[in-house]
Amino acid sequence: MVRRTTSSWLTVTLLSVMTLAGCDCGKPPQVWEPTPYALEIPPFFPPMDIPADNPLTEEGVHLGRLLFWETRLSQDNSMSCGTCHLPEVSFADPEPYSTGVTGAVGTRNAMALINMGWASSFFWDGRALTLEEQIFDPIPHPAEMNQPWSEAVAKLQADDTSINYPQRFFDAFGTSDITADLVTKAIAQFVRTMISADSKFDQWRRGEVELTDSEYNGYQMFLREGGDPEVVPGGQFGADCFHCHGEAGLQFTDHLFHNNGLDPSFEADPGRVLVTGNPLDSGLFRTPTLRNVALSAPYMHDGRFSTLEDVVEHYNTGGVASSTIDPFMKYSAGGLSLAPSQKEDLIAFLHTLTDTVFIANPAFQDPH
Amino acid sequence: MALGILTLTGTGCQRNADTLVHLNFDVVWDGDPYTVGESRPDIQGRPAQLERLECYVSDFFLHDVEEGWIAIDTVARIDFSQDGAHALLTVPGDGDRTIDGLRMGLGVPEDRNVDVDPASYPDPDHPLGYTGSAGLHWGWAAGYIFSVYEGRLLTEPNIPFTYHAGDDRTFRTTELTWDAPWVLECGSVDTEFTLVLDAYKCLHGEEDTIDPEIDPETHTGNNLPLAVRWVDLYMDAWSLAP
Repeated sequence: MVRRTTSSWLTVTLLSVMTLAGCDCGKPPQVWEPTPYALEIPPFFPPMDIPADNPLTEEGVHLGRLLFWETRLSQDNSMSCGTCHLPEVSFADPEPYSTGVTGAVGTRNAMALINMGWASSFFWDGRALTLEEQIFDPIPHPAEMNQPWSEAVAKLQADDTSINYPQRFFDAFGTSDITADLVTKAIAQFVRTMISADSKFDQWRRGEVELTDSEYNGYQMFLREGGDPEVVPGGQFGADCFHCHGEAGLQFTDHLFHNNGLDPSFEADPGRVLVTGNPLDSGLFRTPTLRNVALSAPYMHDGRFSTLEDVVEHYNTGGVASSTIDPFMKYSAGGLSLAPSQKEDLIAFLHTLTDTVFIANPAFQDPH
Repeated sequence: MALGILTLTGTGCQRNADTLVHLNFDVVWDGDPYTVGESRPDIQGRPAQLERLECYVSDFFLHDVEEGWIAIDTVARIDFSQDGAHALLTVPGDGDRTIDGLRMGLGVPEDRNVDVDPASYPDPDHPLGYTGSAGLHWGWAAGYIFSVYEGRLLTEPNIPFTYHAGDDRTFRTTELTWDAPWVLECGSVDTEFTLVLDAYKCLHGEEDTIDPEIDPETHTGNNLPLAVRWVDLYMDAWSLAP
């Protein structure tokens, strides 16, 4: 089954007669007639909540792809969004921290860009509530692309390459007057099309393939409560992943924020509290999706774990107690206490979430 | 030109809009005002700190003294850590009603629970939809989490507790009555009252007490007896604000 999202905005033929800056009065005015983008929502996925003021169009998505890979958005024309969001690692950064154009190093690991159209907040601390809002941040950020928006926009406006950005913006938005707002909208349109739904787990869910015994055992552990019932009341010898990496909608995240027991205190990075001011949010970070988790190392907000084995071992030992550690962590009971074969099964299951079709999709690669 | 004369009878009216009742939700601790995140003494005097308190409420009925129980189809997600926790009841019928009681389901009704994928809701922001139910769903076939009561005793070391009720066996209905009947005018839209959950009573009731140090955790499926004890306390912890 394939569902398609539509927008009432797109059901109306939208015609706008506009002239490009520097009108050539001998030519007829251009007609703006964007093509609605038919976004295919995969089976078992939820509807995507697309902002009414930024519907997907073929022209907007293509422009967004050009901009996602556009190095002129950075101060020295050396970095694009794709520099730190590499396709081969699920559009994440294989380094714990990304290095910006000035050599400055960030403080958090670049998150994988995968099924972001279903996210309800962005960044590890959730400080952006829309993709458009999130995209505003990296371009002027001194530790990233370090270019004021005014300069980035000026470069695009003055584009004299075959890309012809002013024309592309007209095609996408009906105006050749480029603004930061329109740049973010175009990139957001592109990122919303970056949908992963062809992992082995997806195929199994659709009844197309079988999981191996090890993968299936790992999946069952994923869904079971953690701990030895002799030590943890209600324990089921499971891995207890599902509470935070919920499978509803096949996104493997609850979109909430948790302290998963990484540190005893939060001076290094207070996390979510910086956004909310609520002390109970100290040390909390957004639950990332587990899709393509085998490709998107390193792990955690600071990239401290380099392998899935390290991550599983962290939960297996229960993490470090602190004032806000999540009650789901079995820190007071010594962790999950999984046997080596159980850990292997769990990791085998996590590998079923790998979608190589997604990372190799030609529509997401650098078009320049 | 003749003027039309609209005659209202004692119980009839011309409805220009639905009759709406706004339910506000508040939380207290042992009868005193409380904000999620604050520390308060439990029955043994230990400092207890709630960190997450959320629930689904549904299957509402208002009791009309003449017609009996009037069903109102509403499901709402209530997060007590947010200001303005709220549910809206649309009351059927074309006449004024005299109301003296309320029934409220604590959880998600069976026919909307198991084997219902939140992703199947066209509106992801619906309380049972994908976004609306974030953090309150077990999995695509396992149903919704009816109530979440999480926190810790601030002892050294601290003792976390987690009570998650969420299968059909833990659905409960609470029934509350007003001291005096009141009239719900047909077509009115600004009637509101407040339901109060006493978070202290969720652990300490007349017939049972849950000690988080001894019984710190249930997710229903892994510890049904504790989940049942918890929802029975929770069911009796509700009241109507005066």
